[in-house]
Amino acid sequence: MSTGRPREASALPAVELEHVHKWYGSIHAVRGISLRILQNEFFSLLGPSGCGKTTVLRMISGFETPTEGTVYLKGEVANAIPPYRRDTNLIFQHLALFPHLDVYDNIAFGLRLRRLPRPEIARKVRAALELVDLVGYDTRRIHQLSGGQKQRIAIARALVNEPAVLLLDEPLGALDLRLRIQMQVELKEIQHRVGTTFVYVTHDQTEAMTMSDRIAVMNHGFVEQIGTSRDVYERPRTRFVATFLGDSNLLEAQVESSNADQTVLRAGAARLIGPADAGATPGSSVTLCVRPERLRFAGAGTASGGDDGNRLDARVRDAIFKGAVIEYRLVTESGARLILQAHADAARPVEPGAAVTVTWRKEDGVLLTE
Amino acid sequence: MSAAPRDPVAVALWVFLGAVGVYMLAPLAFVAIDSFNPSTYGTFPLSGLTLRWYQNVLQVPDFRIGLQNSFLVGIGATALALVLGTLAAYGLARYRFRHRDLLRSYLLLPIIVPAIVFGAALFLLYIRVGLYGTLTGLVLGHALLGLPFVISITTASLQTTGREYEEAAMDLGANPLVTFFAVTVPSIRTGLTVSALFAFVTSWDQVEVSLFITRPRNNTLPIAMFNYEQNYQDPTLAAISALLIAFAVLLVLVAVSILKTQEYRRLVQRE
Amino acid sequence: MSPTYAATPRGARGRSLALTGLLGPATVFLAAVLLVALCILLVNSAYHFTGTQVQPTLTFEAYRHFFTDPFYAGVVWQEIRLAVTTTAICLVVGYPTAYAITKIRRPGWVIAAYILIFSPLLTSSIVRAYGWLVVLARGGLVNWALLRLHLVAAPVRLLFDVTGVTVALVHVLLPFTVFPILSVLLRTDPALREAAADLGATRLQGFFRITWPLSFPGLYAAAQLTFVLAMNAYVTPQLLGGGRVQVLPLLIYENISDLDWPLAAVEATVLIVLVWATMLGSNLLFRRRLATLEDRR
Repeated sequence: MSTGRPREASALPAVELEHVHKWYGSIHAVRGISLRILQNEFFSLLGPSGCGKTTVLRMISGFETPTEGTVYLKGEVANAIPPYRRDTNLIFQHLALFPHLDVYDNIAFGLRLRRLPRPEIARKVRAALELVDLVGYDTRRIHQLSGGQKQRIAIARALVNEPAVLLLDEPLGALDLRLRIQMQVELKEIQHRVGTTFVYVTHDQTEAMTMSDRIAVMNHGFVEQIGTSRDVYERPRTRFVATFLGDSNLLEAQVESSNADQTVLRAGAARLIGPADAGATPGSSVTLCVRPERLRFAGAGTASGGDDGNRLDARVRDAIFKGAVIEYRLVTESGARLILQAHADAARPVEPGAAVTVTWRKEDGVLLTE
Repeated sequence: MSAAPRDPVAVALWVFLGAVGVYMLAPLAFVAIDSFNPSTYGTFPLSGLTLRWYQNVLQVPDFRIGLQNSFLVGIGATALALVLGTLAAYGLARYRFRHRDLLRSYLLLPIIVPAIVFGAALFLLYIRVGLYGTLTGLVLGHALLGLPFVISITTASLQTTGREYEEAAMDLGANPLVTFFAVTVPSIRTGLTVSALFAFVTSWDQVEVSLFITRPRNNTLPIAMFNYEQNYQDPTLAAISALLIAFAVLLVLVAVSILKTQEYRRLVQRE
Repeated sequence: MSPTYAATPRGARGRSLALTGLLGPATVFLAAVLLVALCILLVNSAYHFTGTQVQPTLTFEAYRHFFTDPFYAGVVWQEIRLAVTTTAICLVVGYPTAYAITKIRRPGWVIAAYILIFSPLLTSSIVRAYGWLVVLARGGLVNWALLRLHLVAAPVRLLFDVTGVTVALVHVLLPFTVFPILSVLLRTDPALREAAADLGATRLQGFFRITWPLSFPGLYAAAQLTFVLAMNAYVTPQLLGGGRVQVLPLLIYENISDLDWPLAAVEATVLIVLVWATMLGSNLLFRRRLATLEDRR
């Protein structure tokens, strides 16, 4: 990975981090991160607050220098390049639209610094305002704009400079839920139209999954997993990823035997069947993760053929109606708590207190070895 | 007030506040009245009205020279304190480094040195380096007294502004120098204005330090007034004081109108 | 997480260069003017004064003179008494004033109150001293009023005495007393008083159990500032004391004028030590109490 640089331009990732560490005094904020963000990709850094995602973004934008390791922009070492000489633009968490300038001057700020001729600046600002659907707002003051409008002006101010990479630091955090969802769709559309690489920092898993081509899930300064939304949701590699992205049922178990086809597990008195996993050696402890929507109630007459033999007896503690689905909170005989999601239109709801048997297919389980 | 208008505690507080107000304004009001007093010894009640003390102000050369010197020194000291203080405040507010708190305390030292002691010390220094009796010497001394105000006000103003705007400018291609003038200065405009006002008023009213380092016949206005008050005590001083009070009232009115527009802007911003 | 951000994120050298450029000028300026001047003053305090001029030989005789002649002890004592009296009056007047201002509801009246309390700051202490001269003089306003009301038979001497100096000094320093108290009172969450009332406290109890203890840091800061400024006062005792009020600042100027620089330097040193010791001592004394208050906040 580290040899043969610089590489051919077309194959170059837009951003690449190699064993990057960041220390703040005695705090190890980023602990050896390596990742590649491809050109024209919508890439998200997802994690709880304090996981180091913003620090990674600030190292890409040039506001922080890595303590160790290398940041490459289009294949070139960028560690020491100050932010004002980087081909990246950042949309700040609180947007940082200059309050003493009007909309036009805000958008033209970067262009003027590059000493573009006046008519060209005017043309580009107009095009940027068109892109965000705010033509005619040139002379508005920043405090006269609504939250959503400010958001779009911030996008216009960054994109008008045609950066190679657009960095976004939780920019939708201040908006209310409806506007947020609308802006998510708009951001994705804008990215399609301009074809720029987007690097998006967020702690909101739904937001990340809605927009991203790929997601890096971060925790405690490490990247836990990188993959498409589907990947990280359906095939989490760690407990953290499994619990941070949506709800999961986690069952502690011991490996009894494993082959190329399946892994046989024992959890208390129950015998469970999981998918094949090379890391599952007999005798080792693993966690079996099953998403709530993959669990089903075993019908009274159902034979064990359709469920690969995974059966757990449980009692319904609570049923929560959530519109499209009903979420059942269950507790097994051994005391483990489970969540089961069923379509709300399913035959008849199960009443709290009922004794049920829960089942799932073996390929719906994921073995977490960490 | 806190409760209904006839609440006895509230009434007592109002009356008290009114009394304090009278006490605070009384000497200033009577200076203004006394400036029209025909009696040389400022006796009450007035036996008539006269403008001759105002004419006298213009005839005392010490006042004319003093006014001129005070303006020059005030402007010079304000400029120097503002430049040095803003640079230092930027360093204190935007960087973390070892002994930062110690350096901040050091830079605020002029506040806790008694002015009379600083004046005496400055006199002993100036007679050695030839700054005694010079306007340069006055500018340096007054700038030093204004410096802590500029530093503390500007630091606070920088801290409340935050650095996101500066980072945004740099992200858009502005180098640190351009960022400072295009973004930092406009966003701390109010803090800088207040600092400048404080620095100027500090110099304008300075007595204790100036007393030691001015030469007779080349004084600042407060020193000219101080000397006149010790020697004559006629209402000429009331006349010039009244003029200065009018100047201060003007400053207050300007400040209030600035504050009002800012308050208005804040309200608009909040929507 | 607290990012160690630098305006020029280009390594340690660029950073220290920027820091030097920013903080260097003020630091050097302060050192070159204030520190050098204070050092010269300190050195002078040890020199020999012949009666007409200063000789640069280290004799420390000015110190001996200052600490053996009871006159100077009397001056220091009078100065401390004046400062304590002034501070006490300022606090007694200033606290209710600040409290009353926080209770004003109408914004226009708030501005008026601020102007009333703080605008005298914009006028020179000389102007204000002259104002008190007018008001308190033998033929001045107060005596005229006393005579008209037949409270006195003949004009009373109010000026050129400690009384006049105190009255004028309180006037000069009151804004400095009100300001710290006011800012602490304004920062106190009004919901606390409401909570106390809700829990059954009367207004008086609410004040003494909530407002008063929480305003203590402001009261303390106000007392310290007022006392220090009163110790340093020169103009007011000079113009209104009529030679009967002797304090160190007056002696310092007198001795410098009389060319007895060593004695002036000793007096200046004593004044600085007194002021700094008061500040340091009260800081140490109240630090623990303040710390627990800050915790409670």
